[in-house]
Amino acid sequence: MALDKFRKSNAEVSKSAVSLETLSDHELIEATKNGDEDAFAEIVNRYRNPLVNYLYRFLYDYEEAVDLTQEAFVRVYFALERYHTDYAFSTYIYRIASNLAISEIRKRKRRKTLSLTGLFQYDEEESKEYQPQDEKPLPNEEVMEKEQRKVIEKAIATLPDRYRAPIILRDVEGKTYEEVANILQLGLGTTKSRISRARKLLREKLEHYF
Amino acid sequence: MKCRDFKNEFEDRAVLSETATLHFDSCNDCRKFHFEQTKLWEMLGGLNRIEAPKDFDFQLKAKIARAKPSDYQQTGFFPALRYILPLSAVLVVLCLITLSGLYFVDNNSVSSVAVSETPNPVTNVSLPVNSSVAPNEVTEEINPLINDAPIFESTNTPLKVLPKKPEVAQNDKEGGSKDFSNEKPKVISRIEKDSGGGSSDKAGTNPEVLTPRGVNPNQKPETMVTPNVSTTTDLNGLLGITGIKTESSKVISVEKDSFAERSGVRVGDVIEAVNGKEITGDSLRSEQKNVKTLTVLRNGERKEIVLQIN
Repeated sequence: MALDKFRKSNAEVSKSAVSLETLSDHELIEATKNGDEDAFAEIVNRYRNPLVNYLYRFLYDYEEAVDLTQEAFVRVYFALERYHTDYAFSTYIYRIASNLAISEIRKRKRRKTLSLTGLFQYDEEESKEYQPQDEKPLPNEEVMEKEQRKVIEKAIATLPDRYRAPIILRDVEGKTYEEVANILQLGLGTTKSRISRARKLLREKLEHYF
Repeated sequence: MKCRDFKNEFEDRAVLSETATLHFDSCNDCRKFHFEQTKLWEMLGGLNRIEAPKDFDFQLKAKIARAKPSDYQQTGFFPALRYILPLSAVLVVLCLITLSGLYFVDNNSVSSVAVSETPNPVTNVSLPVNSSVAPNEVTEEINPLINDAPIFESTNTPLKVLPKKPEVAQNDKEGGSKDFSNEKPKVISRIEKDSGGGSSDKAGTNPEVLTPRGVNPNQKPETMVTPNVSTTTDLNGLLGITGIKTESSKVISVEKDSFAERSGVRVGDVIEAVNGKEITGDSLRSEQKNVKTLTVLRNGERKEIVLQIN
């Protein structure tokens, strides 16, 4: 497959490519099945950044997030024939990405590797360890915001796995409860419960910022 | 409205209904919760969007080019069969090994009697139990060739000697004077019962003792060889081979300045044949008088030794 067309210069963007942007995900999948290579490039273009963002928040490891996003696209590419339109494509590809991330986390636990995430694994007793205790005035607002974002990222990364994915999908990626439930293959009630629990944990971790 | 309902409603929709607004105005806890949750959403929404690297598509293209489609496509109707089938095969092999082990243990515990060279050989005599014969009574249909042979009898199990084999009958016609000196040890096949062929020593009972007629059952016959037991036969004064393992026919000692030593027999040689006939260490004794050549295995090489007997 000529994947050179994934990223084209503006000059190369043809009328057909413009029309691809108007197609739905399912139409793009069908087009890809029929041999339209530009259609798959358009799918990659649509989901590349959201997936990297989601997996980065999940794993707190950029390289791993990029790697797993690519792996998710490879799986989609080789499994197009088995893809059914029962769910939205976004649900399908997010589910693949979630499963890859969960597998990666399990591998890390088995290997007991010390990753950035591992440094901040959730622990009830040490959950407030990273919270700012320095009461000195901060230099300026920009630095403060930057520091705050770091703290939030770490706070998300320290959530237990079962709470982390739902809250990222709901409150960071903006998915609906139903979509989150479908992606994580959970019941709607369980999904809401986990998201609520995750928010409570985050509020506790970030109470100094309220 | 309860606080719990308020929180659920707010978390679900982030918009307060009229009832929830009334509760919000009257409940400090819920106001605090509302403030904190709103702030949390603002903080989460303020996170930077992480983007894919610029060479993402290039890397993806390389990955797809490297990937084997078979790794991503299901094989067969159930991919787990790839693991289940080999595991099943291993389990079947293990079961067979275990069962065969049990079978041989069972057989050894019945009554497998190995008889080496005997003056009155009983060859290939199978002794099945005949239910039509009264206990302690041996049938009279005995091969004439082995009239003088020891007849195995059981103290409480009726026995029957199988009809003779044709070649034995031929020997009988020729005078019945077959030379058994070169015969290898024979193994009497295991005794079977009419009642199903189960082992007689199940449940820990001792196996039945079979002894030749006229022989004290408590006395072990000289020619009886216990299988798998390494013993040493002293052949001193014969060829000069003073020790040999009967199990492997391996020479373990040679008398100094004996025929054997002069002829070149060395400790460690494994005697395979005497005068060209295959032989075991036990039957070497019977060959002692007419030994002319020995075929030995030494360091993996087969050698023919001509005995220098003056």
